[in-house]
Amino acid sequence: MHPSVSEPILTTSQLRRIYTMRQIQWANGHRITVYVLPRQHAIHLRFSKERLQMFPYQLDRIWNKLTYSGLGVAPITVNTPEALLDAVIKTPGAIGYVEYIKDEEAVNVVQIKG
Amino acid sequence: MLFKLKAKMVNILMEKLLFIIFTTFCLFAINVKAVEQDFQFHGFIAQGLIDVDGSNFVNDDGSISPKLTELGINASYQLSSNLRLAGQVVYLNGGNRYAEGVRVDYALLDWSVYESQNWQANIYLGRYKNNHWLYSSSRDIPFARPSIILPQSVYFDGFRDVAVGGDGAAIKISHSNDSYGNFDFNFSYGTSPISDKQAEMILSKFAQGTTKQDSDIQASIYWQPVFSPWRFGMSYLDSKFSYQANNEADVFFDGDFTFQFITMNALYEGENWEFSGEMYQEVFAVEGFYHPLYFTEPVGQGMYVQSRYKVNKRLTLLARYERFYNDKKDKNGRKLEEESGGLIPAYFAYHRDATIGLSYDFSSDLRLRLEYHWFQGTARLTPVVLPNPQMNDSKNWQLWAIQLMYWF
Repeated sequence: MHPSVSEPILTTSQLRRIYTMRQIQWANGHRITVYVLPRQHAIHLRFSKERLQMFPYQLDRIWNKLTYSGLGVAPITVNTPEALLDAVIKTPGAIGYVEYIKDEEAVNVVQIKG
Repeated sequence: MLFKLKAKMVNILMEKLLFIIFTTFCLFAINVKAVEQDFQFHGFIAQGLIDVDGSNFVNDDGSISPKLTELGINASYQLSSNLRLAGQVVYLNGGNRYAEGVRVDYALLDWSVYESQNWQANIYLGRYKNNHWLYSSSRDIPFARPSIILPQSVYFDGFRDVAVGGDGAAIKISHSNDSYGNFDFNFSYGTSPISDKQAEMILSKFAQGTTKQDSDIQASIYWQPVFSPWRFGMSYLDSKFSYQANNEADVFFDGDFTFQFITMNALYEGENWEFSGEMYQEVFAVEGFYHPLYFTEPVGQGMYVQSRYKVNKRLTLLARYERFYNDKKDKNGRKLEEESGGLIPAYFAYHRDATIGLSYDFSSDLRLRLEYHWFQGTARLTPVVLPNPQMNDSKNWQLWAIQLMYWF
């Protein structure tokens, strides 16, 4: 997450709410900007199943509905893990996922519980 | 009269809102400093081939048709922390299924009235999309719906322009509860403009008067238990139309139409299997129109069950069965045929569809879809009020379609 986000721990429920766009602001009132990798990307598939405990096609359904019916906005898709990390570092209130981080100082690595 | 005045005022406000939204987007396109998270644009393009044997669902001559084109582009701009503008323009060509052309699909101001970690409440003003049925908001989005042709008893293409949304206001309240799951409540009130082509599809080309939608009220509620693969929903619709006869050249009289529609739906999303289904009951009341004292209020019923199997991350198979009849007291259409003196065959009283299909993803944004339908009955062919048995003289008819779609 961007260093401005103070939450040190998120529950799986919270993470799900954020990625299904049911929670769009942090506890401090700042807007959440969600970054994701393309829907067929191996890291996206793993993150969906292992962290969100959802299947990627369920996320597609929710995000497509928001994007193409005007109800809301979906996460922003970036093509590579490097681009995702760069976007999270540069965007206040941003959240994203990658496999490895070289410079842990640049972002706030969040722990996912239960 | 009051309703019509209100509808006229809504139309004027809508035109102004559409102008403001598109002016904002145009100005925005020039402002390159805008940040990515505040402005998003997306779109899709889909082209296919469709062949119908035994009905005029797509064309009158029964040839293979390329009239399976869908294009769309949308934009969303966050004006402030709680105000957002969003709009989508689509071009559709489905042959006889609906009017061909460009439409403003939605154009709205989204006001986020309340936000917390567990609650969201939004009010949408302008042209909103119908968000009440399982696939109503994604019916024009080729890759977001489950098949090229949706179950016609709910997503009837002949009613598309009226059912797809409305001009007015909509509310969405979402609650996420760690013990009881996710709840979504939707409400909308508005009207849809009815084009001459749409009026012809519902009534008949012989109706020379003016058709208006006076009001459309819809509500729905969805519930997904905590971490459950299931989701359940129900919806209610009450829509009123009026027909003003053209006294100089009309064979019909003034009329009022009331359409009420109740649905229940369920969705299961497992790792490989997906099941969904909707059950519904409708009441379509007609007062006048055929002659000043005419009144009818048939109760129609229908359902479909659908299964999708994800063979791997690219290939998905589809199977669906759908049944519908216009009048629960005349499921086989005998009464319809008798009362019309044999002019309207019994098979115009019902609609059944067995579908198989597959979709293949070449990448994250490119998909090919194929499907085959076996239909029985013609209750979901246009025109609805005055059917066309000369063109649709088969009880059994079939359809195959193939469509390639790209989105971003």
